Amino acid sequence: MIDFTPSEETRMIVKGLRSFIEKEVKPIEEKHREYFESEHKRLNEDGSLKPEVKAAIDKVRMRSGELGYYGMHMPADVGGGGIDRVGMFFAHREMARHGLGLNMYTLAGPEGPTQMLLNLNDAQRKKFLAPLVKGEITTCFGLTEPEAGSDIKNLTTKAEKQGDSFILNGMKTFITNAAHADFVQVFAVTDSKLYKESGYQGVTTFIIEKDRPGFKVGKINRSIIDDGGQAELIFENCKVPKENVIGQEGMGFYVAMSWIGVGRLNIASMCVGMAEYLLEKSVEYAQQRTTFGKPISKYQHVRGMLADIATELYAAEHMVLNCAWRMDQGEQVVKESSFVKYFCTNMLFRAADKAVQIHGGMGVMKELPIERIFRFARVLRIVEGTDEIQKETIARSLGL
Amino acid sequence: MKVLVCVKRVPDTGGGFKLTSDGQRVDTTNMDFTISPHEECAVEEAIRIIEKHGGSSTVLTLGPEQAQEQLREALAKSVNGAILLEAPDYESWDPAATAQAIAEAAKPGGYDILLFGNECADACNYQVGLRVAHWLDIPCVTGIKALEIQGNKAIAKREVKDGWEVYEVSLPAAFTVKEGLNSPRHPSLRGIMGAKKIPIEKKKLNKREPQLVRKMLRKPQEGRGQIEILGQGVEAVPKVVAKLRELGVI
Repeated sequence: MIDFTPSEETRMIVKGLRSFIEKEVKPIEEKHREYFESEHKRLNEDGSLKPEVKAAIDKVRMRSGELGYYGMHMPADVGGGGIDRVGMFFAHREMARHGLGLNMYTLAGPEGPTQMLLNLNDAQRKKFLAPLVKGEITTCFGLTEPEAGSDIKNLTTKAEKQGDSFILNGMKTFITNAAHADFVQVFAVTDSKLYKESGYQGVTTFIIEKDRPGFKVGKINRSIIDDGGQAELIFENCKVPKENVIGQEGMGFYVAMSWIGVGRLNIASMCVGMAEYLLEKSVEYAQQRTTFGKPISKYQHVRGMLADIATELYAAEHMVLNCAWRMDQGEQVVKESSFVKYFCTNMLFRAADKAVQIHGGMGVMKELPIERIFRFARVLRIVEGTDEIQKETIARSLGL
Repeated sequence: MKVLVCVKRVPDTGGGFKLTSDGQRVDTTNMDFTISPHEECAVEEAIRIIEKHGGSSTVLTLGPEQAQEQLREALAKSVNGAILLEAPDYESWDPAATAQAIAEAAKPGGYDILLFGNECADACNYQVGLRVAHWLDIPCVTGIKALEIQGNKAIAKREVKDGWEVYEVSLPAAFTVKEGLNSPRHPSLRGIMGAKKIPIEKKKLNKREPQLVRKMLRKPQEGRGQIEILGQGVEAVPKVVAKLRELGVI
């Protein structure tokens, strides 16, 4: 029988995380408030994060690692907590229900340990995975190229085998945490013929340390959220030993696929938490703001918008829980993870649009966090597979 | 050193709460439960005493079976053991009956220090810690914000206007603590996972007749904040100072 009631252990984890965010993380954010209210103050001229902001983010991540929350989704044998997907839904929801601030760095995202890294061998696990699970170092996932986003058959980054090493040439773009990663995970074509024929094989994943000669971080990608996180990775005759290959040579995409479904579920869970935050703020504002002699919460249009947010939120929550539970049962959730990613990111976007509308003029002002979440919500419909890619996956499941 | 810390399972009211239609209690439908804030500080103090002086700490509560959740919260923060005094009808237990049951359970433990919250977050009777000390015939200092153990005595400080009252008591002794005594730690994931393996000692309690009967709870009228603009820029300063004096802030 499906039962989504969180276990006592999950409730304790959520409460622990809440206490950590409220008592430790939010005071740090408050100290750096001016940076979080405005991208202009947060970033240097080249779009990179100012050192004090980076230090605050690092502090939150490392402290969360110390408490064991940061990498709790990873198995216990690599230093994680072995928390299942349903448990992680509640954790991600809790993380995001405190708004778009430093709280968003308390649980690992693409800069942290992912299931994909379980393909590392023992030596690699010791060197790269163990400190990553503790939040001591960070990484990034280098797949996207200017001409190859979700269309992964167009990769141009190549790795040519020379003895016991590979020589990498090419570039990646829009890579989250590229500017700060201690090591990057890079996908490169190692067998052009096989890649051209199969479209999936012939690509290998490599670990590249940040100080390896031939590798550099390119320009920071400026975006509508300008969080200083995305950048280019550039490889020019970068020599990498075969010990840095993740998993089996030529099977890079199979390595990557082990992670993509989980990433979609994580985003969907965060959308639920952030929509809860918006709903709470919007209800509060609607009750306080008075026009023509009564609070705007008494007007049918405003009440309707709030009811819409609450209804979609309820649907989204149960949808993610169902998918997470299926994943925990070992089911393949290809179409289901597309359902939740597509629905929840759009649900958040609609909720953010309504929240802006309810807040009126204040909704688009920098003083309130609403407009920033609106921009963030728009981005979520693109990353980890656009709306169109998700719908394509769903359509394929219908035999189309 | 043996430390007993007593906690109570109370509704986590957050921003607001409703009362049940009979006005007897807070409506806890869809509500989380937690440990009272003062008691969180008591738990933290128990852990710190053991970390500094060695020995063991035990957390105790009187309540329903679900109160094990609050005991495990304390265990997750590294309290060593837990006792549940099971009283399904706990809502009808008054401070006198509660204190007597706790004292009876604590007596065989031979505890050196008993810690309580100054008052619980729901009933706020301010009585249980004091009554337990009376039952056990040990000294009690209430409302403390500092505690130092020196051999077989303790120095406890209570904050008063413009200073501190300092008490020296011999152990065993009981203390009721207030928020500000320390900053309670967050449970680590390892602590949470470890807590579920620690057995909880359970004792069933018989119903006792309360001496104190609650007639009715009434929610106070919610007041609306008032905004008063005193002026602009430097010229407003004397008015701000006068207003602060009027409010008794300075």
